[in-house]
Formats: sequence, C-alpha cells, structure tokens
Amino acid sequence: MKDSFFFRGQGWSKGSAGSLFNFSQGMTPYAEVATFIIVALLLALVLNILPGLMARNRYRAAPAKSESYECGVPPTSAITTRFPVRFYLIAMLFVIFDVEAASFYPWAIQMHSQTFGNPHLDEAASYLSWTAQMRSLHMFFLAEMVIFIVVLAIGYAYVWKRGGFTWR
Amino acid sequence: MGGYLQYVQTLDYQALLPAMIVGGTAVIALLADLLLPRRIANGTAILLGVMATIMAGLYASLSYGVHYLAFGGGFVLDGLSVVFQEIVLLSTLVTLMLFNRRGVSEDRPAYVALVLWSSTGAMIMAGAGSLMTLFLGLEILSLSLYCLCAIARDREVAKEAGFKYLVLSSTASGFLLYGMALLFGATGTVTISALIHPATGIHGLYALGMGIFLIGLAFKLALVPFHIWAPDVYEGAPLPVTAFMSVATKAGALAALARVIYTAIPQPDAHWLLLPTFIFAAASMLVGNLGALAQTDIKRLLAYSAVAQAGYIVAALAGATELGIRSAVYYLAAYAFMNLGAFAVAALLSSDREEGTQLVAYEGLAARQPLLAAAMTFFMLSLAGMPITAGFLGKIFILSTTIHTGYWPLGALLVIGSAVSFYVYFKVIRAMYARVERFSHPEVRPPSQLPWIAVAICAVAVIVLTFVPVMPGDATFFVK
Repeated sequence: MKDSFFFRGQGWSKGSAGSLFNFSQGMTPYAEVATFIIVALLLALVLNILPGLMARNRYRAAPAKSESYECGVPPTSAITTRFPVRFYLIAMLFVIFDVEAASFYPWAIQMHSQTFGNPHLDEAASYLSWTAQMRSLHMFFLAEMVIFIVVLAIGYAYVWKRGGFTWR
Repeated sequence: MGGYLQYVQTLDYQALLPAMIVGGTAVIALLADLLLPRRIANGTAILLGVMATIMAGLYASLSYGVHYLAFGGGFVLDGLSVVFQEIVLLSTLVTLMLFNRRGVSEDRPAYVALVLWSSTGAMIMAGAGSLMTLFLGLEILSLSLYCLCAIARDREVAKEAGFKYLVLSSTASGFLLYGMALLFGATGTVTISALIHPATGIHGLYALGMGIFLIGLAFKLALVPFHIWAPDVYEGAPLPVTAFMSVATKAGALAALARVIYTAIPQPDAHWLLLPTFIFAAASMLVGNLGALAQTDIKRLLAYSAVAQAGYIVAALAGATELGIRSAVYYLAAYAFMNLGAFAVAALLSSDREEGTQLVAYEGLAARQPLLAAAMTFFMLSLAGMPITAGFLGKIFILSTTIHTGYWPLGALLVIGSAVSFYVYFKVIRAMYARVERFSHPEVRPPSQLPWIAVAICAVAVIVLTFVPVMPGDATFFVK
C-alpha cells in the first residue's frame, strides 16, 4: 500500500478489496453499512405501520386526535405563518461563523496529537532537541490559527461594514 | 516517524505559493473595500488583482520543469499543473480587465475577490494529486462562481442562472464525491496516482466509482448529456464572468481529467473504462455545433461553441498518449485566447446599462469600428479553425492524435463538427460586414482602455501561437 496524504500506509482494504462481500475474511465494512440500512428501513416501516394496526377506529375518528396538542391550549393561528426574509440573512451569517468556529476543534485535537500526544517526537529521530521540536510545532499551529482568525475577522468586518447585521 | 507534519516543509508551501498569492490578494481586495472610499477602492481592487495574477504567473513559470509532491502527494507540482495554472491565471487577468466598466457594478472589490478565489480553486484543481485536494479546489471554484453568476441581481436571467448553476452544479459535485468515496472503498487510498495498484486492479467497485466520478467531471466540462445548464448560465452571468467560466473552469476540470486518465487508469483497461467519456466528447462536438446554429445571442452562441470545443480537447486525451496531452494543452491555450478575445470584443460593445451580446449589436460594426470588427473576425476564424490560425493548427494536432491512437471516429466527428461550426462563426462575421444597419446604434464609449488591451493581448497571443507552436517540450513531466 503506497502512502497517501491522509492515510499513511494504513489502508484497511489490503486483503479484502477484491469483492464487495468477502466472507472468507468476515464482513467487509460494506456489509455493516448494508445491515445498518436494512435495519433502519425495517424499523421505519414497522414504526409507521404498527400504530395503524394497533389503534382502534373510534380513537382515530375523534377530531382532537388530529390537532397539534391533544390536550392543552387550542392553537390560535396556522403553523405556516409568514416571517420576514431578513431572518434568512441573519441565519445564514450565523451558520457561516458557527461552522468556522467549529473548525477550532479538529485543530486543537490535531495539535495535541502532534505535540504532547506524539510518542514519536524524540531526539533520536531528529537533530533538534525535544523542546525545540515542540516549540516549532507549537509555532506552526499558532501561525495556522492566527491566519485563520485574521481571515475570519476580515470577513466579519466586511459583513459589518456592508450592513449585513443591520435590521433594514 | 510521527504524523505528516514532520514531512511538511517550506517547499510544500512554495509549491502552493501561486495559488496562495491569488487567494490572499482576494482578502486584501476586500480590505481595500473596507478602508478606502468607494471610488478609489474599485480601481485599487482591479489593480491588485491584475498585479497578483501577473506575480503568480511569473512565480509559477519559474517552477516549470520541477517535479515535486507537496503535502505528501496532496498537491503535485509538475509540468501539467504549471501549464494549467498559467492558463487559469491568464483567463483571470483578462477577466479582471473586462470588469473595468462604469456603472454595472458598484461593489467591484467583491467581484474581484470572488474571481480571484475562483481562480485559486481552479489552480488547486490543476495541481491536485489527491481526490480530497481535487474536491477542495472544485468547491472553492464553484462556490465563488455561484455568487458571481447571480451577482447582477436586478436582471431576471441572472437569478435564473445563479439558481440553475447552484442546483445542477451541486448535484454534479455530489456525483463526484460519491464516485470518490467508491474509489476510496475500492482501493483504500485517495492519492490519484495510487489508485491503480497491482493488488487491487480493476473490479466492479472501481469501475463504478470511476464512472460516477467521470460523470461529475463531464458535468463541470459541460460535455453533452450534461451541457443543458451551460447556455442559460452563460447568458445570465455578467459578461466577464462568462468569459472566466468558459476558460478557467474548463481548464481546472480538464487538468483533473487529464491527471486521472494519465495516472489513475491502467492503460489496458482504459478502452472500456473511458469509452463513455469519449462518447460524451463525440456527442459534444455534434450537439455543441448544431445547437450554436440557432443562437442569436453571442453569449449563448459561445456557450454552445464552448461545449463543442471541450469535446475537441477531450478527444485529444483518447488513448492517453504523450502527443495527446500536448495537443490538448496546445488547443486549450489557443482556445483560451480566442474565446477571451471574443468576450473582450463583446465587452467593448457593452454599454453601462446593457450588455451588447445580441447579434443585432454587431450589424455594421465593420463600418463603425473597423479595428474591432477585424479583431472579432480573427477570433471567430480561429475558433472555426481556418488555416493559418492557432485554432487550425490545434485541430490538426488533435486530428493526428486521434488517428495515431486509433480513435479515428473522434477525428472524423471533429472534422464534421468543424464544418458545421463554420456556419456558426460566419454568422457573426456576416453580421459585422454584410448586414446594413437596420437602426442606429448609440455610440458606445468604453470608459477605459483595459478591454482594448485585453483584445490586443489575445490577438497577439493567437498569432504567436500560430507561428510558434509552443508545445510543452518536457513531456515526461506530463505523463507521470
């Protein structure tokens, strides 16, 4: 198996890639996926059909059964009301910045596994001392995140300046 | 050894530097919009973009002849990537020159930034050595283009173009990604050159994955069963964006296609695995040229012509010979200049309010602006493939390649398609020279000389390509 960018010599399909279902070596990951899909389909079918079979007709006929809340306050308006399209822009901006903040997480995990969690970081493997390797790795990660945040901040400032946050 | 970080070196970033220059300048253009007053910011953004593309182009040309696998094979620096990056950068440069029109866009820094990001994506695609990098580049390219297509919000066609491109292109991206997932499942790797592996070989899952993957690429190239979106999107997008899409997007997708054909498909099996792609190419040559016959809008006409031209270029890759990739690159370079030149002429005929893309706007152009009419004639003749133009030479190269590799039906269709295309392109020439003006045209005075410079650059480049057939000489870098 040649080294690749993301999977350095750890191809899991070394022996079993020949066929979809290779029973001589147990199930391939595809068999697991297939099992998952079949179970999900069956469960959805059963849960949809079963109530219809079990419920008795006189309960189904009651009008309260088809309301949003069977007991409690009667609904005052239709569910499908109109709301300003301006919410859409706010929601979209929120999603953009939210997802970008979420990418801090893999960065932190990766930094830990490359520095303190890296058992291969020893002096014997490199001409640099352990401390020096650690420092250079930390600087690398810091620079990476600073660039990321600067780009993010410019985008934020741009949206602000162009009135993306004003409620017009 | 530890994780891949220990393999990341300064050289890796140097390999990526041209793309980073372009992408970084896009951010600076946005900053210029924030800090400078609007009047200055518009010009500054275009100047920044032009400077960045020139710098990136010069830097990329320095590394021609180098073969280096950056980021553990994720990004490949070789002849193929450099040449395709140069083509992308040239089309970006011309696109930015066409932007310099009054009135049409008040927020030009945003335009410039989006075009530069788009171009960054295409450049990453050109050098993608791994399926992940390929997808990353494609998405950077596409996301910016979705916005660019719909950016003229006051026009109905622009909204339609943006929506169509978003929906259809996302579907194609889904196909591409699903194909990649199946390829990864079949081979256990995402590195394109490692997809062929003696132990795995070709089997059902691999063929299925490759087929779906190639459908995704065929959509991006607008090859025939997947070309329906192209005329509508080209018509709705602003003129410079159309020019950019017709060259840079195709260059990025072609680079990816070439890399997959040349490194990821074992040649004995290539015949049947790639046959659908070449059938698409054959159909594109016919349908593209026949579809262009009925068009009266120059953008729609060039959209259909671009479908046919993409078919010609893909036909050159049939058989995966060294000569094939060289003729494909030559024809792509020639096509880039002729097409961008035609769009630059159309930009010069556009006024503030409307884009002069109806064929009516060209009637009697020879009397009004003889130089412009001559340039347009030259580009049209070259697109049609008249002798002593670069288009003719490129078609001869492709024809000889297809005969050499045994894919002669593709060559035959190329000749038939070209014959049909003569009528298409002569329609424009006839409008300029033979038609009497039916009504008076308002004098259109372009606010700057930049589109003129673009026309001149393209015309000179087509002439130079004709007499100095610059073929990438070091073809060994292309094959692996």
